[in-house]
Amino acid sequence: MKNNTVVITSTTCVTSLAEDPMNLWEELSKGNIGIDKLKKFDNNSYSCGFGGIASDFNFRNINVIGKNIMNRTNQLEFYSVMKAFQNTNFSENSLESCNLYLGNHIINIDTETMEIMIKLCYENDNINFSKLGTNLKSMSPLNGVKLLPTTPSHFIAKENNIHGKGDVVYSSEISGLLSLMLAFNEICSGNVDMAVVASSYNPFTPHEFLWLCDQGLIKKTSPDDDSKKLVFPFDRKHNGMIYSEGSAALILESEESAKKNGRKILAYIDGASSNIFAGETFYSLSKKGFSENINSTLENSNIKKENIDVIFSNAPSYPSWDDAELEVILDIWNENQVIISNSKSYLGFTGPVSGIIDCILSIISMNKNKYLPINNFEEASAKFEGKEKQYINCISKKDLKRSLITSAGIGGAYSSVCLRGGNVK
Amino acid sequence: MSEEKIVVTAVSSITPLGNSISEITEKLIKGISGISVITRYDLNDFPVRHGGQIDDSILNKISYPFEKVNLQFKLFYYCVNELFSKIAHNYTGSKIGCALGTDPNTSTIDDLQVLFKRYHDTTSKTYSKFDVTKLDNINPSFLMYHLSKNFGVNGPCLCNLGTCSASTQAIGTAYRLLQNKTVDMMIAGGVSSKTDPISIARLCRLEALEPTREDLNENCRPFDKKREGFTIAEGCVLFVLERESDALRRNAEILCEISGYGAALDGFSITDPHAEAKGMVWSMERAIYDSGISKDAIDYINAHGTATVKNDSHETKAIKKVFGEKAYNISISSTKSMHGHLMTAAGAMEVLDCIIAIKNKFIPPTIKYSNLDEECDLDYTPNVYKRKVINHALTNSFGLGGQNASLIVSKY
Repeated sequence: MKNNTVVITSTTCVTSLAEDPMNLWEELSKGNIGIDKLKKFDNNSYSCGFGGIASDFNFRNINVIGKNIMNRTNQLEFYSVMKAFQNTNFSENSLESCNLYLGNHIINIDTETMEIMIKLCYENDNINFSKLGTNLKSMSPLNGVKLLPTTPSHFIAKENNIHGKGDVVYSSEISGLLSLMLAFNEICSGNVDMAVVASSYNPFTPHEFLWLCDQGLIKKTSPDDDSKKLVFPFDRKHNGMIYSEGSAALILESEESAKKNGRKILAYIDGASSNIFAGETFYSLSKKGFSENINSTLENSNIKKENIDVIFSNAPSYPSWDDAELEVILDIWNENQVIISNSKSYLGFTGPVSGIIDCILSIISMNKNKYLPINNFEEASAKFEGKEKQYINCISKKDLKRSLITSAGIGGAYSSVCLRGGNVK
Repeated sequence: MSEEKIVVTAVSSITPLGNSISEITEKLIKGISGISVITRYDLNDFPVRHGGQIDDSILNKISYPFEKVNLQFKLFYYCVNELFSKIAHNYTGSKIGCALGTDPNTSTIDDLQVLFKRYHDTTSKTYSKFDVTKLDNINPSFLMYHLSKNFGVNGPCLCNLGTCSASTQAIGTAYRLLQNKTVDMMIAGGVSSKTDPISIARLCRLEALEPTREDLNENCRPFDKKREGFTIAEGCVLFVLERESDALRRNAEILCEISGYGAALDGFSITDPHAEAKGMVWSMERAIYDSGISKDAIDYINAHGTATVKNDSHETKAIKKVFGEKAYNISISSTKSMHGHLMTAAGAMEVLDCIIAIKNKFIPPTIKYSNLDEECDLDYTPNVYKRKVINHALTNSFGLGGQNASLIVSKY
């Protein structure tokens, strides 16, 4: 069995704070927050009125034939992937056998289609979809295309001449890291030399956001709330997530291919794993799940826990999720030093994209040898007895060489990856 | 790459051709259609009212983890339950995974009524009492959650959303995860139930479906000159995949070997195949290369053969490009002519067709074939099955968005 070393040679992201990794790092270093009041639609009757919007993102200037078919989720993803290629010296021919892995979160029908259907089918306080039969022409022909999960892979393949395998995978909020694991395995096994991994998320359509509000993981807000004081990962004040939109992309290659083509190696991937451990409910995460997954990734990476210098944690500010993860980190690392970092207090929770964004931030963190403190953290809940303080916002490591990135989500889904700093300082 | 063979050791299916292997085998040999007028939904005002329907009464034979479950959940859960009742394994949960071809939204029309009404009531400020757990089963992760909760599956679990090639890709992913030893056992296949008014309406607007004809026997005619579109179908087909050595160790019956997988993106048109059928060609060539067999060793091609004008002519063109003159001597068929297009479960259904064909030494027919199309001039096994020993079968799945995937299913 071939066992190629797998490296990351390009990273990009679009977030509510910045549209590229280095600017994002700068914004985070300044302590800036990408969460604000939502103004996109009337959300007065929603339990939450805040979120992270990539307000500078503008797709109008992108010149792609047929771009009207892409919804905002697809636009964000397309943009990130295109930038990932622009950032380095890929020739069109070199991408012909490149694989593409997209881990998106696209569940609900788009608002336009939904509103048309309600208009056509609402009768006697009910929705009668059989009425569509006599109103077919009221639906746009593009309706059947706009919602295809393969729309972004089509445009990405077309614009970049990518003709490798195209996997569009979903496993709740771990879809991004799961995609990375699949790509890593394929390159490691020698099936392919290069792969693009991307993820995109836009929860801010009226009905999608309503659905998220109904699920109850979101923070209940009032219009007077301070947008800087909403997200408290691991802190005892945590009481719900704030969602954000965004996208991110990574280019993965075998080390041999990267070196042969003279590309900068931003990071090495040591290993990754993905698991499902069903909790009590569809929305629960458990200590067992985090523990099994993190240990599995350490084992797959052939790395001892003490070799991990920084953990970019999942903790989205939802109490039981944060606490389960923190307990496991404290159990595993115990007396060993490790820095726990987290991006959600700045950016909000970008669903499946968050794992990829955290990979990017961990790469910058290692290559700059600087850690990202957790914003809004004072102390964890009483049961931790302050033990967390030696890991959070406390410089306990001189050199940041290896990072662990964790991602978890509904359905008891867990994924994590071990990265090692590259040769870019 | 591991030299070890990846084998299929169990199958569970609910299909328009029946639910047991013997039933499906009989219909494939006799060329019996599972396509009928859709009765589950009121489609009277639609130009398309027919499809490949399952007999869902079987789903009432087991109990489900909660009271109100939708059809896709039942299909998946029933098949998983049957699979686990068939196999005696001692793998640890974290070494068992699942790859499932499905849609991003696994809701039924009832779920959508709840979802739409909730949105309507909120935006029109006529609030009603609402229980969000009723909508949990619109999320495909809900299937994986219950796979873990009720069957102890704790390894990597994913849904492949690759439209019509989703379950072929899911089986391909399972094959790879077993090859690189990430897992010891995979549940892989597909589920789909999209004969509802919304799905039919969307596909009608794309002009992808063939309108219902007066005589249903004239509907769904892959490779025939008078073909006018595909016939939608529903079902669930799941397999257990393992490494050969593990299967032998536990004395499992080995149904076939999955010996090759290839996939490719067209990057050409979101609705149509590549003009030069490039993605289809690459997908087949990569699968054959991956299997290590020669092109001459392929005895049978289970075509994607949807009965859309473009797919069938482009697939024919692609087969000719891959096999050259030999293309005219390969037995090909579109079993969709009998069971319709199971969408995200189509690839899994057609792997099952290949297993049955290999085990029973026959080429399933393409039924309802009567008019030669000069652009489709290969041997599609018209109307009557053919006796033949099959050592290696190639099965194709090509999806909207330019997704192409092929598998090599080999005799064991």
